[in-house]
Amino acid sequence: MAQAAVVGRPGAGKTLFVLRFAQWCGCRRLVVTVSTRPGAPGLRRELSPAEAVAQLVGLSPPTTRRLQSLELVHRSGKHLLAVELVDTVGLTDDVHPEPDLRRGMADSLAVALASRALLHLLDGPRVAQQPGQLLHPDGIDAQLARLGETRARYAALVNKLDLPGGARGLEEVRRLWPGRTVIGISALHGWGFERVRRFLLRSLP
Amino acid sequence: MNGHEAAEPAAVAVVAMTVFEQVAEGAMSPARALQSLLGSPGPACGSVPGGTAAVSRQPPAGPVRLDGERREPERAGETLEQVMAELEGLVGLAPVKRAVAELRAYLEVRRHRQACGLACEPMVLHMAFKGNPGTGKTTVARIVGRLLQALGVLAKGHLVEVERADLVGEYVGHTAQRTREQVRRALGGVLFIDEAYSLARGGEKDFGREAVDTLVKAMEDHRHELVTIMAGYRDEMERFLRTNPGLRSRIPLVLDFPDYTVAELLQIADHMLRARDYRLSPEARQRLACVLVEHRLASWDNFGNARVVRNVLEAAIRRQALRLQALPQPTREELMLLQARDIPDPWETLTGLAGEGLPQA
Repeated sequence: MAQAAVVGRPGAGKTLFVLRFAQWCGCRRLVVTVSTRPGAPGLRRELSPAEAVAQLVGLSPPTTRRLQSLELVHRSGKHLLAVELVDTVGLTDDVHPEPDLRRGMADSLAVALASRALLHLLDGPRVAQQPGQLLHPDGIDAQLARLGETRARYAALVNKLDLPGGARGLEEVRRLWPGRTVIGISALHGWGFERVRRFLLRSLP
Repeated sequence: MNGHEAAEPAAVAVVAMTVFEQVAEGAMSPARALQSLLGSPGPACGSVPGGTAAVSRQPPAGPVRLDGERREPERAGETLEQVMAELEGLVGLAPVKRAVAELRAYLEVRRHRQACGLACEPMVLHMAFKGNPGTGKTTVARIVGRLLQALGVLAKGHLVEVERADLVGEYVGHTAQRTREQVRRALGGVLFIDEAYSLARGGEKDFGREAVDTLVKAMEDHRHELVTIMAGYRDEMERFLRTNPGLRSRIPLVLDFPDYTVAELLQIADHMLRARDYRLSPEARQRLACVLVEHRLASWDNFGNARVVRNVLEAAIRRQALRLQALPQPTREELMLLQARDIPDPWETLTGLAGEGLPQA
């Protein structure tokens, strides 16, 4: 099954996006595999969407400390989308003081490099406040965008459109990264998911 | 997929893995890791519509703090005791811990003397760290930065880690400009120059000398707002400092990082495995000790210390995964336990046969 990595800063909404997107695609039970290392056998947990959100999504990032993946099969008319969505550990501009999280980040980078598609989650209101971070070469967002440009199918998903500043963040991303696939979403409400599905269908074999 | 990916050679994957390991070790930030893999930013990353690429290289205005300093924001308000406890928690390094404790005591007494109006010598804290790879030089440098910040000596205490390629330019005048730029980034914190001795290679006409001269001036001019730590192999560093008397006279603190003992390396292995939810069986532990001894014998005086442990364990984890694949449903205990047969022979990791390749997800 083709792999798509969901990457971004801590607190961008990666985990909620993965779970809500799976739910939106019609998954009743989510089988989430938590891996200690990429490729290593992981622990499988079967959860309902509500349980998954309650257990895996946190209000104070970083919540995701290890790679979590979810296999998703969605049929719509003659189109079949089969993808393994890998929810990664939030990546920071700086060296993180916690060794566990640094290990998770290293593994996440390896997955991002190896994946067929890269879904780069951005926190819309945060971008609106600090648009300069998208361009700074020492910033993780600029580097992830470059990675996507050279190695994978890439889409920037500007999340939290439902919050104040979200729409302005989306405009900023479109203005500063012209020519890239930029999709505005709200992981909470499912906005923009149809465009994400179409992007994945186009990108994956 | 684009052609770039199709043509991706295995060598790239190996380089990537090495770079990502530095992220796990804390020697490099995730952003910097990608930067080093992808090369310097092209116009697509840095261009501003209607602007120039150079614009994007400037730190953004306003509240954004992305000026390339690998600061550790979560450390704000950290106490001295927390920093010292972290240092004490490191395996081994007794002489280094003693030297840092002396430094702390000296700085605290100096502060009291100042408060009492007593004479205080000008404080210069530039340092040299000598030791083999994997002996904790970068980790200790980071702790020193935070310690000096907690003591109020440095405003920020962040670590800017550079190497020859970050300092030395390609044409006349370029080197001084690059070196000054790195110094500027490090102001208020620590400028950590890894393999500093490589600045002296290349002879009279090499731009490395220009970098050293610029550094010497910066160390003097900014001695109250910058601590420079030059690190590298013991012999090379001694030769480097001996041949640059101007530099040596500005570095009052020289710390020796001894190789870890095998018992200490086993402790490090336990730490690494605990962080990844693995553990060693008693037989595996014994075998790991033997393998580490053989590594040390084989590598003479360039023993990779903690890095060797990490490489051996990485290889062991992959072997264990292969072994477990044969089981229909491995138990939790089996998933965690590394057995003696999982520990690779020394020749395998020495030649890199068991230590390379990007993990396939």
